[in-house]
Amino acid sequence: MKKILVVEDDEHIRKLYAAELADEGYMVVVAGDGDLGYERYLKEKPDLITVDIKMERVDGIRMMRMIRKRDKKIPIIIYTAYGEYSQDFSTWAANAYLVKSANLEQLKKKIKQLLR
Amino acid sequence: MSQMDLHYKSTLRKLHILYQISKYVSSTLDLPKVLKIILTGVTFGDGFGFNRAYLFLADKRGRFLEGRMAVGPANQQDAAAIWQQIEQKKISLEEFLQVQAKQKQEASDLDREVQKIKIPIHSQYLVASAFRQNRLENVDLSSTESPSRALEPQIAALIDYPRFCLVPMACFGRPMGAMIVDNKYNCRRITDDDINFLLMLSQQATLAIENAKAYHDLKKIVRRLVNINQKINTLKEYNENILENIPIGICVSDHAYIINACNARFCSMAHKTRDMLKGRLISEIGLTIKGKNVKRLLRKVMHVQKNRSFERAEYSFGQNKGLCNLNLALFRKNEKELQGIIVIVDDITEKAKMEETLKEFRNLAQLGQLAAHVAHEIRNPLVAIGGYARRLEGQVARGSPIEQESLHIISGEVHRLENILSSTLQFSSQKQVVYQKFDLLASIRECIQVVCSYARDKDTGIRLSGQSCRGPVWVNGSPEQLKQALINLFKNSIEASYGGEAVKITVKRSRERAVIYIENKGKLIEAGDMEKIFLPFYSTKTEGTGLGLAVTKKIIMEHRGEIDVCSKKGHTVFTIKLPLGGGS
Ligand SMILES: Nc1ncnc2c1ncn2[C@@H]1O[C@H](COP(=O)(O)OP(=O)(O)O)[C@@H](O)[C@H]1O
Ligand SMILES: [Mg+2]
Repeated sequence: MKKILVVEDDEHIRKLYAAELADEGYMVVVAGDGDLGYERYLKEKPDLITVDIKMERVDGIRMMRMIRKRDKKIPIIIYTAYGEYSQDFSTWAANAYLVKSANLEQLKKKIKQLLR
Repeated sequence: MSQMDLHYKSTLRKLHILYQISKYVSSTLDLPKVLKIILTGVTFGDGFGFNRAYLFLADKRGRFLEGRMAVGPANQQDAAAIWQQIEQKKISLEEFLQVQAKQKQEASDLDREVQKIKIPIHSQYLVASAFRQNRLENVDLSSTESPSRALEPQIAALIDYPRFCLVPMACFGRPMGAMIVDNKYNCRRITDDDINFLLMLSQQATLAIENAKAYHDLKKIVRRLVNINQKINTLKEYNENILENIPIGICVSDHAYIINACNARFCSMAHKTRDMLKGRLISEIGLTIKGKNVKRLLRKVMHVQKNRSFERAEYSFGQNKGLCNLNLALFRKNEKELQGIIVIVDDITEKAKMEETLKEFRNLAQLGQLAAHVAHEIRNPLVAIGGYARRLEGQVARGSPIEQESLHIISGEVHRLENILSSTLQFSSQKQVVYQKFDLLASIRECIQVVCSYARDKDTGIRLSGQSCRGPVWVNGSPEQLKQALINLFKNSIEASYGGEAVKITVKRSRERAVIYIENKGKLIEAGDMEKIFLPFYSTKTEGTGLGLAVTKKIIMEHRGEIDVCSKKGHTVFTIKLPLGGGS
């Protein structure tokens, strides 16, 4: 069973993602900010990470940078409420960039694709 | 008639002619005419009766003698014809000169011939040296004793006759020309008498020529002066035009504050004509500045001898009313002497209006930013609501049990959206607020009432401190808005409280201001966040909108107040200062 780390500071959305991805048959671990996310990553060794880049404390970008220093291959999906960042991050170390939506189909498809 | 008598008579006649010549010469200041009269006098049959006369003048730089004019018959036949004419018509010199003085001068053949002559002054030839030494030469080339110097070939060719007299012309010792006379056609010898008269004539002629020249130069100078004067006038008009057309009211008074001059704009501002304004006191033409006494201002400027200016002064003038930049400047004659005072009124009402509009635009830009923020802020709740709704949809479709929590989250997120919406509307409201005088203390009591149950829910309380002042605290403003601002602050303090200590509100009067302290024990604000907390959407609460303090600050600023925060030693105090309304 593949393990996914969801890093998201909005509690309700975090719960929603966890539930939806669990329904898809993944094992889900969650973190509420970038620091915790990094800790979780070290401990849980997930197969894929989804991260909101705009969070209160350590933002998603810093966390991603730290992770990429150790692991160049692990798929990372960035999503956020801020559509206009896509340009800035297209060259970034992320494997995909999504805008947050109530419809999770796109996210699920991307995850499936990256885990193949 | 004796020889003596004859001589006497001829002398008299010659003197008369001399008198006639000088009379006519002095009647005109036109150089060619002067020359013509002189030469005509010399050659007139009834007078000196020389056959021909030539006139030479030194050029301006004193390097050449130039032939200017000649009078006499061109040849023997001509001479005979002319004499006969004069004999028959019996024209007197007087009549002849009268005609000459009026006539326009035309160059004769002889004139043209003499005008070709140009001999160097600094040469060893006869005419040049006689001219330089101001010496009369009675020349007879046919006599055995030949003259001391050779005659200029040009002159020899022109005259083509051996006997002639060279008369120098000098003014105050300065040589200026020479006249040559001869008797080619009747061959009469030139006598000593002739020479004496020629010398006298030369004196007269020189003066006349000099006069004419001086007059000519004077005319030139006058013409130049007229030109300069015209230029000065143009410049003056130009300056006056600028002052006249400038869209700033300008008026100049003397040291008694009586108006001497003012420009068009000033007149139109005053709604009076220039004549109505001139001669009146500045302080009595209807110009008033709010909060100032114009008369006293003017006096002060004069006495202290220092210019003064006021920016954005509220003024009224005639039927004009508005904002102006007012300048009172000393009008100085020189460093020591004061001439009066200049009043400059620059109406900036329109400009101020434009600035206001610009500010509104800036607000609108802020609103745009706000809209972008809101768009971002509402995405999270929307994602949550939509996501859980879909989950529920799926659960219902599959007939599996519904997660109660999903419903709970959806209603919670909808509530959050409502909060964001109402705060945003408040923050961006451009409503014109109606200001009124109201009792701040009473409003604070009301606000405490509103939030006290909320405080109880959060296991704390809120109370008005006993150190607060008593009696009404009057302020000018919108009670509704200020209550909103206070409730936001009270709520924040309640939310940050822990340790069971109630939120303490203190109201005081200090100088011209009402001061409100809102104090709570609890979670502190970090030093680096002191500025951030007033930004829209800055929040450290999961359910927060981050708009409370932004709205509050906006309201306080609009009431010309101040808001400050201090967070240390376990306590956070927000301080609000508002200007007191009159009457408290
Ligand atoms: N009395 C206070 N004590 C400590 N922190 C405060 C206090 N008032 C405001 N804050 C901080 O300022 C932030 C912004 O406040 P506000 O603009 O009212 O938004 P919100 O209350 O929705 O978070 C709060 O999230 C909180 O961190
Ligand atoms: Mg608040």
